[in-house]
Amino acid sequence: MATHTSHTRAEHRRPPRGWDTEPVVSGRRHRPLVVALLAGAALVVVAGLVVLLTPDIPGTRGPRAPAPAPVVAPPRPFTVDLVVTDVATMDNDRLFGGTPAGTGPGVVRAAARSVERVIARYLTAAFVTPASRFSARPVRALVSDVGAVPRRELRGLGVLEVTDQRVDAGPVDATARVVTRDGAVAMVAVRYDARARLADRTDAEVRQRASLVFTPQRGGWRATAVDATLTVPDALVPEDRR
Amino acid sequence: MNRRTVAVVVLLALVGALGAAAVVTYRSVLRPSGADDGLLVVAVLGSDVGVPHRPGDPLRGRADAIHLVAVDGGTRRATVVDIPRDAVVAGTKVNAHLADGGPEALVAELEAFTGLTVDHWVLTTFRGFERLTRAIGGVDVQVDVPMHDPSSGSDFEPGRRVVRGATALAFARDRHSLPDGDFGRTRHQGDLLLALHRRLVADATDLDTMVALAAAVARTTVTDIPPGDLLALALHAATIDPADVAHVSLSGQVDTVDGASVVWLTPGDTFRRIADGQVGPPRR
Repeated sequence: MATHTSHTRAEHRRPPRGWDTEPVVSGRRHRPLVVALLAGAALVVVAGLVVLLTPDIPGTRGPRAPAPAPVVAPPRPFTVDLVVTDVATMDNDRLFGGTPAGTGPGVVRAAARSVERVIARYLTAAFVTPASRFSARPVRALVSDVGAVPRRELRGLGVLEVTDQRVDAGPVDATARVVTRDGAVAMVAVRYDARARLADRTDAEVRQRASLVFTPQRGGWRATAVDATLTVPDALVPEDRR
Repeated sequence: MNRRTVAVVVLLALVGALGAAAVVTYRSVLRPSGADDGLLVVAVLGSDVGVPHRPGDPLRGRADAIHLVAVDGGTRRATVVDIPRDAVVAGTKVNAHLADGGPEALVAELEAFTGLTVDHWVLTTFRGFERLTRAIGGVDVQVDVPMHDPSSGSDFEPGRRVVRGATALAFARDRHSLPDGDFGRTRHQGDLLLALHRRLVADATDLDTMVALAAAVARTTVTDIPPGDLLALALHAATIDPADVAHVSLSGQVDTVDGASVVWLTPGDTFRRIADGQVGPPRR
């Protein structure tokens, strides 16, 4: 005779004896923890979206730290390298059968360097230095006895009286004829072509071509004769001064 | 040129024009004041002494060229007066006063003779004149008659020509080729002064060239003009239109005194008119 045993469903769901019955994270068995973690993450995401999409309401948020100011390099000054192309004398010894004593090259060089510095200072003050650019001040330091000259006649020297326009110095081509007398330099005739750019527009150039005659005076070398042409973008200048 | 090329050229021209319209140009021209508004009279002298032609002190030679240049600074008009070297002034030939007492003595006699105040004098020599005309690149003159004279070295056919250096000196010295002899020579010297002025005016647009010219004048002349004023005077002279410069060549009666040829000048009212401010060509 065979013997068989029959079991109920409940009996099949009971774990067998001796097995561990503590919960672990896996499968259906760990659902409560996973659900809690997922819910927390969702909450964070939703909160972040709310912050991003909600406009600031004045008074509802605290002060923000100021953004650091952008670093702006100071304006670069003009540099001038004056090339002496000719040295001429005013000495007339040859009329009397003599030979001019001449002027030492060191004296000529020193005069050229002095005039070079005067021009560089003028160009920088006239077009670059914020406190003086496009004003009459640099011209008064460059040219002797210019006080009585009407300002409109000084526009070629940069007296445009426009403000808030930064200019960056560019190249300067400069040559000089030095005239000597009795062992000293009597005159320095300079020709130069100076360029600069408006800082906010790389295609806008300020250009000055000039011919000046410098003579030594009390207080240094100053121009006693000038012929200067200044070209600027028309946007730089008010209508009534074009 | 095909149509496509024409279109490109027109387009470039338009772009260029648009670009050019985006700038403004200003010019400043400042000049030192060279003279006040009154009358300025300068005696321009040529000495026959000076290396290499005749060694010695040029300031004690004979004045073979004597000209008065009167400039009215206010009206910017001028008159050049030629005075023949054989003119009798203060009892002797005018050119001898240079040898006797130098430029100041000659100027003093000219002032007494003309009634004008002579503000400055400028003196050169043969060599100085040659070098000056070379330094400025020559001057253009009108040759009216054939000039072929071995003693002066002239060799010119009639017509307009540029002279410089030796040819300029020959033009200034030749009297044998001219029908009016020494009067013609003096007139030619005045022509050269006017030509120098025209050259000055042509060069005046360039400061550097004017400085070179002032230096050339300084080293080829002796003058009582302060060196620092030379450029200013040159710039001022360059503002005078050549059409506003009169040229008066004085003449007179030719005579012989003690075997020497002299001229009794007949200046008329030339000097009085200048003193009265009537300087320059007659007004139309």
